[in-house]
Amino acid sequence: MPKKKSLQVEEPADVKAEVKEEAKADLREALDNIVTEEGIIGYILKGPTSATVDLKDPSSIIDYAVFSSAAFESSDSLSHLFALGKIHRVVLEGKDIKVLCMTVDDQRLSVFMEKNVDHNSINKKLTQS
Amino acid sequence: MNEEVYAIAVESALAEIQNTCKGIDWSFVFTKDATVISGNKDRATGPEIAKSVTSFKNLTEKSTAIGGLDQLWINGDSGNVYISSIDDTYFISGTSKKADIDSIRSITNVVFPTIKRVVENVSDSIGKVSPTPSKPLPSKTIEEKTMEVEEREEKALTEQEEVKKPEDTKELKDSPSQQLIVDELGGLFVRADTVQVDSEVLKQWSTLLNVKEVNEVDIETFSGKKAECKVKTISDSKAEGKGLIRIPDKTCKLLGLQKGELVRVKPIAKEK
Repeated sequence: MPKKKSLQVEEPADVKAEVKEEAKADLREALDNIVTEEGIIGYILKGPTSATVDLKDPSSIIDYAVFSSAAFESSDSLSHLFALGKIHRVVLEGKDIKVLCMTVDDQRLSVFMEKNVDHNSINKKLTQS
Repeated sequence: MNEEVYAIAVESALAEIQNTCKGIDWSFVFTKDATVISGNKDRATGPEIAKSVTSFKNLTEKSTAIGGLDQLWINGDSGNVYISSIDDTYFISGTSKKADIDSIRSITNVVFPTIKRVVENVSDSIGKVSPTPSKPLPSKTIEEKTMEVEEREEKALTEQEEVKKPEDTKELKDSPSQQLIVDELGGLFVRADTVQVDSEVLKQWSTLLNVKEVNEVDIETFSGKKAECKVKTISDSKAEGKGLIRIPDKTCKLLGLQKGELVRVKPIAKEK
């Protein structure tokens, strides 16, 4: 008896785009909530064509943006060298500040926070958004 | 600082850390100027490591925004990479996905810096050791410890120690002794009773003792265990000039020695 072929329904391109836009909106909403939390310094969300920056100290935007970019570049390189596969998150700790970096779809997100902030809870909030 | 000695000691320390902390698959240490000091041989060599070190160096240069980079944790699909800054060096390790992050952090932030400082101090002291005769250890203590050890050691070593010396052979009271670093010697054709030492050291000993050649040495560990072995010059040119004594695996086990440890070596010369 021939097997029944499973029905495959392909989402139209406009539906996919709509879902993506919804996810982006959810992410921005989560970030807006996170940025009000104690110890959070701000974030940089960089897409292929645009970037959203929300930092408490605007004078350090360039420094943070350069560091964020270097962090993604370096972790990509290390991940490739040591065959880590897809990167879920990168945590960088300095003497004063901690940074949580992650890629959400085609956007690169860096959340800057004080060292005493629990980055795991921030990560959870962002991945659930 | 004697860099080669330091590298060997760090390598041993890293191996021990890996044995203790099961989550760590590999690890190595590099300096802030991107020079790899020591680590897992298969990981710490090759152009790829140089690339990763350079990439990380670029990141540290841009880390003034966060007050300098202390730690970096990359969480990937197939595992993690953890880098920690310790004084002027970086410790990098590859861990499994299910590794215990807290224990790895405590090892790298507490245990490793301690080991590193001890290793540096030991390495400094080795660098200052001269090939001239050093102060002998209190003979009473050595004798007491040796008696205890001889009872416990395996038959082979005991037999080896109990072999009567020819009448014309005796250990000179003022024989020069030297602290050397243990390197394990393995292989099918390796004789358990023969160790290897730098040809330069053997030459110095024969000159100091005024004998044609030195064929036997007395090895004493810092825990008081002693063994007499035949001695030859180091056969591997890569291991020459590093202040090493290459001891067969079996003898290392009998003496409770591990690679990188220090031993006191004294020549046994035949009187003319």
